[in-house]
Amino acid sequence: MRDRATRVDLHVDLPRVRIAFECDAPIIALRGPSGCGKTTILRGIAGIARAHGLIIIDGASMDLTLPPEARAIGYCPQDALLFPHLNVRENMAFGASSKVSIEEFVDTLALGSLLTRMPRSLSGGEQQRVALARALAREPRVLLLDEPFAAQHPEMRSQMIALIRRASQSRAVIMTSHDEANLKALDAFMVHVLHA
Amino acid sequence: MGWLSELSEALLVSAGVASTALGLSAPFAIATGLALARLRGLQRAVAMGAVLVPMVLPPVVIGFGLLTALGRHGLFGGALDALGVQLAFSFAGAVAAASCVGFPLFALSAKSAFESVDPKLEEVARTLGASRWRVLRQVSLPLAFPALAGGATLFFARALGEFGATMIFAGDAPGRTRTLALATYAALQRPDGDADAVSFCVASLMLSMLAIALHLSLTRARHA
Repeated sequence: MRDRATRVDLHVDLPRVRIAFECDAPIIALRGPSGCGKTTILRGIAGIARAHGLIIIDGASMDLTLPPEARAIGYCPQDALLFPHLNVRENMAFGASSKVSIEEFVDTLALGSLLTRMPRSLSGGEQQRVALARALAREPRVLLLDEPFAAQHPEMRSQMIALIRRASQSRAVIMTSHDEANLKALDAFMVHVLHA
Repeated sequence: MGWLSELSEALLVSAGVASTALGLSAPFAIATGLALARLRGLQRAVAMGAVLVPMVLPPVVIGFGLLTALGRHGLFGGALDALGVQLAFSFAGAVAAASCVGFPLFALSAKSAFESVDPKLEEVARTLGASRWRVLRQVSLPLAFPALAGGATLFFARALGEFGATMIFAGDAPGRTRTLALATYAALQRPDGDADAVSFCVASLMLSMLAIALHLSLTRARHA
């Protein structure tokens, strides 16, 4: 069962890939073979790859020509990209909305013991969880997740799924993942991206 | 004047000239390095050429150029005189000469420093709501800092050892523009000055080694 019906209209035009769809689901999974442009689409929506288009969520539109800082998006890349000179807490607080307390993600994502550690001392899975918390702390209207389960320990996956489901209650989630089981657990709307 | 007091006076002038030149040049060298790291194509080639020119010119030519442009009878001498500023044959002139010869080293180090920052980190910062200015302050500059500090030490070391441009543009006035390099030259001109010159050379060598050690420790910190 989906938690709620969210109307998402997406039209993205990038130099080598183009995608357009409409759906009534808060969680959308981009699927397709490696190199077909899934990550590029996420980067286009995030504003860090040149793109044209529009994303409309429950009637509210966001122009994809806006600069990235002016978009209400949270982007969580596959390689986490934590700021190496900031500790975990500072990373999470970097773009945090004033209405959000980062403590609310600490327990769910098991980050309590990591808050004062520097990113280089974290495992890949820990880095991804911090990146997810950092993106959510921005309170985005659209959450973009690039292979969020790739480096996760199986024990953490159920917590990640619960958090992504909870996040989707108040925003659209667009993600890439090769993991069919996790996408089924999230009841994601599948969009198949073909080679450009 | 004994050699020790002459040495300490020259050291003070050298340190004052190099520190002032570094303080005044640093913002421009960092901005130039950032521009060089971001520019592409012809613009980058032209800017690189302009920055590299003082590195390949003989310092004497730089000094003569400064004198021609900023001296009392130079191109802008009248305008500077009207403002009450006299650069030639003054401490400020020594600072200008040291800045000219040290600037390329700092700017090129800053360019490498900014190029070494992963652009993906800057992109992610922007998706987190940071403006370009905030990304520069809170991501790019802190990550580039060790290499920038390394560039600053190179600038400082080069400014300490500057001779030709300073001699031509600032002259050799003890206590005002006589740096350690100029004091060494002045000692060599005296019939009994060889021993003093050796002392000044040893001091120069020790200062240079200190600067190199600082530069290496900062660049090692960057790669640690």
